[in-house]
Amino acid sequence: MIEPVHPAFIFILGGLLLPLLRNLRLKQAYLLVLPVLAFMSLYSMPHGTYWTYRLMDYTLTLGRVDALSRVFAFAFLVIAFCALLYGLHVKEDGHQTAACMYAGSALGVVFAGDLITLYIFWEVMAVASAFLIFYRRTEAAVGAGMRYLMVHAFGGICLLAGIVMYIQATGSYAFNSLDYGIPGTFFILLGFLINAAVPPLHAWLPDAYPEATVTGIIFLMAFTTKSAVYVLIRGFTGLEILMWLGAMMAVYGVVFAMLQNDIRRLLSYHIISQVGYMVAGVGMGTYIALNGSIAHAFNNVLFKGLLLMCAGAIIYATGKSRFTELGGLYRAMPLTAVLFMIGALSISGVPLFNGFTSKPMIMSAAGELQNSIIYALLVGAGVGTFLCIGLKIPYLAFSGDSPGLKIRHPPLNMTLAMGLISALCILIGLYPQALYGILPYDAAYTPYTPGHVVGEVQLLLFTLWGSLMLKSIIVPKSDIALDFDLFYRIPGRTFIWFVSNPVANASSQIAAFFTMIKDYMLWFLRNPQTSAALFIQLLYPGNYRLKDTAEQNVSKRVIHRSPIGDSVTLTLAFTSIYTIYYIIKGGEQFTGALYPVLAWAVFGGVLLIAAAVFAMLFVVPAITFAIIQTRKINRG
Amino acid sequence: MNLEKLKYLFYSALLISVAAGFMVTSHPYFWWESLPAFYAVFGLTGSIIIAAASWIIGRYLVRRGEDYYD
Repeated sequence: MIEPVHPAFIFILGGLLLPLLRNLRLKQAYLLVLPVLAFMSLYSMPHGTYWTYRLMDYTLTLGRVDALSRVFAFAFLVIAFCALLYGLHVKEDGHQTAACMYAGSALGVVFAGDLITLYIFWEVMAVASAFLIFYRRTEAAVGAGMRYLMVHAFGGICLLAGIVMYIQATGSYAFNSLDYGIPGTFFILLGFLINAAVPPLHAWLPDAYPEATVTGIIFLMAFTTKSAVYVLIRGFTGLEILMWLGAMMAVYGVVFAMLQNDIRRLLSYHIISQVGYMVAGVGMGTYIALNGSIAHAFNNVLFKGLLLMCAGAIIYATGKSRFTELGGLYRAMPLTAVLFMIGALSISGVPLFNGFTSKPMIMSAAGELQNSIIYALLVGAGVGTFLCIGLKIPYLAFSGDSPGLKIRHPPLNMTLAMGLISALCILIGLYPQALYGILPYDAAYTPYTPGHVVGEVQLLLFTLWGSLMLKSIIVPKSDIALDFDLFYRIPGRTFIWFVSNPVANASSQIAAFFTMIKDYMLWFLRNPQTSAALFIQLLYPGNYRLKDTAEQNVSKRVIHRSPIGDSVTLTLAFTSIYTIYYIIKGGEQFTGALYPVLAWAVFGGVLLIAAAVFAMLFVVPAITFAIIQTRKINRG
Repeated sequence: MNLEKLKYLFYSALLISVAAGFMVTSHPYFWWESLPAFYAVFGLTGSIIIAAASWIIGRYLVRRGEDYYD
């Protein structure tokens, strides 16, 4: 049997080697082979621990393979394959490499057995993913990418601080259940919650994702938030606050999604809502809830990926992403419309589609815990989901009249990826055992009970009825909705202003002062005697032609020249001072009663001369220089 | 199939779904789940509440011009 290779390294190294291939077809085949290789490697290793390395005093565990890491890795590989297929036409190697490294580092996070390995892959993930935003190459994308990077740098620092404190407190660095309350776990949790986009730490997501490239957003959607769900399951299962945060964000996401005018920004807000279900499931912590979270993460990368692929196809075809500029696309892009509806029905939890097999699992867990508020919030978020994805987007983008859009048909690989992923959505919807079979926890669940199906159908049909009555409300205007990113965008701008105005001014003042000293030294040292002479001219202007000398560049004019060079004079002066000093301090071998008196007299005399010379050479010219400068300024 | 027919089809689907709710046996977690047509009412009111809530939040709190950050 072949020795398994870490799936993360297949992607990371594979991505880095991609630019070496010269042929486009070869590159495309190579990109599709990578996830297949990783998949084979994943399934060639039984549960256990692989790839342990020593780093100083720590043993890094790069491969912890168990049912939990395996199901997430499986989901990541499926979506990586679909996303690579979707982006196969992209000709920029850098984009593809960033995508591969991002997928690889997400797999690294999933298999990390200790906190240090986790942190390393966590940071690679943040940096690699930012390039999928930068490669859009618009001004908005670069700005949003930088903000994205800053937020994730902050999250990474929180995680690192938490890990260091945790290791200090416990001596352990294994990545298992982290007992909330141990020092450092708060910061680890904060780092996780930033990546899970839990409000109010979520604003990076709807800020950056809609600015990403058409193909990059599929990767972004899949890895960052879902790996955050994975690490939350690993570390903080059953932490009650997560249940409340999750239910809150499920509703928050749909309410804000309703407000959006950009198709991918709407879907991005809806990612927050969907991750809310998973986070709530982690917070509940029962087996059925965890299975529900995992199944929902799996399903979500499929149907949300499908929705974003369709949105990307629309943007590719029309160049527009605002609802105010879209409409009537059903006639121009019927296949995209149908595939989008499959994704929309899946995400809304319509029976026979895959959303129905996982979302009610989390709700059932809330029901079993007898927590009616969480249950109602999650059902309500489901209503909102259908409202904004099942109804708002189709109504605004596909139906109605076309505002005269020019259509550039998306390439075959994009359509193929959309078809493949929608087939998976329906497959899991029809045959949920395929998904339930790989879930790690032992909790049986039957989605298709009559009561369940009828309840769900009632819910969705009446939501549809409600939305038909409220059509006028969901019509967008061309505007944006503020969010928590306001709290770092405006102060950030103030900070930039503060640095580039007051601080920069103060620093240029200081620089100007030292430049003046430098100018003086240059001016003076070129000819010290001239400067002294100039001073005299200034004092007795009648005797000399001050006007001429002052007005011209004095450094270039020589008025007086000493018989010996100035530098020689200076050297001589310093040598004399040194000689005298030597005679006094080092002259123990000299004897005689008068010697000290004589020596002090000579020394004192020389000191006086030196002071006079110093005054002539430095102080007087400095005043001269200053006066000339002032006159120049006054004249100017 | 014209719009009128579609409308009738839709309303009959609403009725059928409510009627089906009386026929199936469910295993409710909460007492209010077993109320007749509970999910129909939830869907209707829920969609109105969410649409209204987002409209109010947008109107009075967060909607700004597209060049707000420029």
